[in-house]
Amino acid sequence: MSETGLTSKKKVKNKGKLTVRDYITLGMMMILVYVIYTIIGLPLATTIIGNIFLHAVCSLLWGTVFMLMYVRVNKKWGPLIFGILIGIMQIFNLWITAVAIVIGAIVAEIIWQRWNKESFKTMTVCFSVQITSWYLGMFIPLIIIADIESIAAENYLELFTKVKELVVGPLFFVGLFSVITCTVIGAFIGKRLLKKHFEKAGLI
Amino acid sequence: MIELQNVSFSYDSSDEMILNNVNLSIKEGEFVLLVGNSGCGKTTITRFLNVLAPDFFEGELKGTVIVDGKNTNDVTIQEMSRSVGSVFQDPRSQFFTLDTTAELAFSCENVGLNRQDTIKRVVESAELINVTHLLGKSVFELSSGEKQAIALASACAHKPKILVLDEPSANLDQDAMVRLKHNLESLKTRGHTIVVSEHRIHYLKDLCDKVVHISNGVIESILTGDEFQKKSNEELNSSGLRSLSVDGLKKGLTQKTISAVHLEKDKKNLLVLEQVDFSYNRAEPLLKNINLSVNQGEIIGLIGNNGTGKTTLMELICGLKKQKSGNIYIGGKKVKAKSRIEQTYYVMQDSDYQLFTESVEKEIFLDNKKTESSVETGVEILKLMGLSDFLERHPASLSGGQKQRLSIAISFMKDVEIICFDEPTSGLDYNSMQRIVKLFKRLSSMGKGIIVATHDLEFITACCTAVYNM
Amino acid sequence: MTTNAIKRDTTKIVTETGSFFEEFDPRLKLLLVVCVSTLTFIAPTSKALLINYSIIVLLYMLSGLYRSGVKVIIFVSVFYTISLWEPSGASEWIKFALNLIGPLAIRIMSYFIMGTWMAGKMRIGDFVSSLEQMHIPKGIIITVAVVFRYLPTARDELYYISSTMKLRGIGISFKNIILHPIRTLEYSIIPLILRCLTIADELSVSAMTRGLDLETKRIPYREVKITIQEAVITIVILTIVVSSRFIT
Repeated sequence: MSETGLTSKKKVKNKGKLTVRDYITLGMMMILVYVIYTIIGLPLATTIIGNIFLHAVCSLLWGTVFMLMYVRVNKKWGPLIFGILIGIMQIFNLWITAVAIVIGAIVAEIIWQRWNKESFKTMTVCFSVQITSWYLGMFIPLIIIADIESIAAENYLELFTKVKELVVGPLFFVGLFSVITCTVIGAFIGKRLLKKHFEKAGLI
Repeated sequence: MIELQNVSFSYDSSDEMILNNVNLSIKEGEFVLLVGNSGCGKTTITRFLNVLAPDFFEGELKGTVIVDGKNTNDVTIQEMSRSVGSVFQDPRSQFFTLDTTAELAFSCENVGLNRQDTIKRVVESAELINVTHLLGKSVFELSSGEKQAIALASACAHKPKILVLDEPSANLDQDAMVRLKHNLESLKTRGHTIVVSEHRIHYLKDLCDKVVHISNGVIESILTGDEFQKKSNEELNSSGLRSLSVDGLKKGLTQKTISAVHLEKDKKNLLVLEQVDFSYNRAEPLLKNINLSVNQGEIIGLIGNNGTGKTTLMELICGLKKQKSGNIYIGGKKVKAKSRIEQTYYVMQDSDYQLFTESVEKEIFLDNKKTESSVETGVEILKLMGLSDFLERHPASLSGGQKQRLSIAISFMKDVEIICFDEPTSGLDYNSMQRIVKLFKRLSSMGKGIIVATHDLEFITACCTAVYNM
Repeated sequence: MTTNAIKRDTTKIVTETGSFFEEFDPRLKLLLVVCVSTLTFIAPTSKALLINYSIIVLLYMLSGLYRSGVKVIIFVSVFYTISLWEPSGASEWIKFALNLIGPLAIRIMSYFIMGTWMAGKMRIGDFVSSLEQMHIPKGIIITVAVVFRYLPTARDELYYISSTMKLRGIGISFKNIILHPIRTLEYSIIPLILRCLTIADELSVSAMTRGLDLETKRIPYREVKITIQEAVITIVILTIVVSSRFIT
């Protein structure tokens, strides 16, 4: 056993289970998600239109981060924990959205465990499910606001109803379509960047 | 205490053997220094002691490594950490918590000690390493020397018998290095076995019992501390090691204190700073009444402890920051920050922030269009820096020293007259340092003005034309 | 000073505790954040909104965050005034927008404001300890700790990267975004991702060589537990905030 050192018991024990290194890597990837959200997402969030396309735009960059995370932490429970973390981040913003994000994380994890973890298709689908659930979750507070604000804006009820119908109507579907499309595009961008840089540098 | 028997090792990421049939034995309480140029394998040896190789930095290990009676194949990194405390080169990414006291308690808590014992050990460690005045502070408020001291105190808190340090002095100024030496001395007196891998060896020469010189994966020589001290600088330099005695190196060099500089009326020098002030907040001005002039071909060294504003001054010169008052002239004309960015270049201490592309070749030509002459220059400078064989390699796959040399090489390609360098030789071995000296002399002969902040006395003696004390 | 006296001094420094709200149990703080911000968000009347925000400002002041507390007061006053503003001659749309933005902003920001209150003066170690007491798996706690620890650093890292980009002529300028959008984006994100990977590895190495594993139960050197006073105060605050909904 001492000659090659390869048949050490420790190595076999840890295979497949998340290690300290994996958890720390998840943390740093989370920071990347948050930084992109802060720099690109939050400025967009100041307008209602921006809010609808926020996730789509950010997904173009998030794709790389998620792909890297899936490849580096290619084990069970990775997507679930990552999704829960994104949910926690939203507790300080809008916690109702957090619930939707966590549901998305659970769905993503189920897909992750059932399909082949090493295939690009699986990663793309999990990524898309996660971000789309965030988008959907964002709409719940908008609907709640609508109920409350109609009390405050009595004079403008007509206008308000029009805006609400627009937002919770066709725009919702436009936004949904763009989120799903952009997550797929983002995943492809991620795959390309991973090959160009990270694989070449020997980091994955 | 520590035994390496017929050890050979190759990392999974490369085919070559980094260590070849190494035999080494270290007794309890010994202070051992590992020296050799970059890539010789000394860091790998330190990684055997804390089981980072082969558990974290995966590779094939042949032979046996026994540390504190345990075969490293049979224990995990965490289990071995009870006997071995580790300190690494970059204190920034070593901290797990946000305040110093929690950082010291970290290792004790991880081991599962109860509250009373943890507090006792934190107190003992803080007093031993003289960091009691830093307790309770945020890690963001510490200088690099203070960070390194906290990292050391944290590594010692759970009282491991062995301490392993990998180039601990790389980012430290002179004062911090002296404090590090005293701390290591205290630890040695307490009976710890200490293994240090280093380039800057002069500050440890009185402490080491054994000096192991490694070259190309084999042990070239093992000398006692006394035998090693007798070696002359020339002998050491010819085997690629840094000098042992660096005290006498500053003779004959123009030295001025930066606040006492009297500016000549002639503003036609390459770069002139006139009564420049800068502060980060309304309270303490970091830079006050700075007067500085740099002529063509001059290589100005900025020395002084960390925190005195060397980096800030260079950022000011290069237009990354705006001065609160005073004027900056380039080539006789007053220039604002925005145009300073275009007329200067700044090589930072950490090359990770300065490399952007996927190949060394692309990196070199990133800033300018590829013309015949620029291609010639590029090829030449890569040769000078010893990077010609790495044209297709991704910069992130290079070693730290190679990245540093690439970062510095890029400055050669820039069509600017003034270049600032922040610690270009930190962590570099003797041969790499000489390459940088050659590059600086080339830049100087091309008429450029160079400002370099450095703690490296050997380097200053080799190429600086004047030195300013911050 | 004798060695024993010095030792006692250091021990005092290590074991010293802060003010009441500094030591306030993080779990209760989290409960307050979630409940107060949500109830503020769905406050039915302006009066209820005002009462809720009074509680919020009170929490700020009691925690010693005076300057931030004043900022909150200014924020609420400004946006409340905006919502009452009806400039004559302005179109319907503008009046509608002004009427909407005020209350909307005040409500949405309650989350950020409460979040900031929780984060101010809270030690991350205490937060981690309370997560452990809630029996959250150690791995997740490690990840959360890493995020809190390195989030502030991310800003500095971006500064260094963008500085170099400016120096090398590939900076985030108007010209570059229009002419070379993909390239500029690539240059700004790749070094950051590489740095995060490097930090992840170096931090793992530093933590593992100091014994961090997934099995050992950590006993924090600072005690974190819910006291009766803290529980009472939490209940009082929640009662006030909930009952504000029924004030006409």
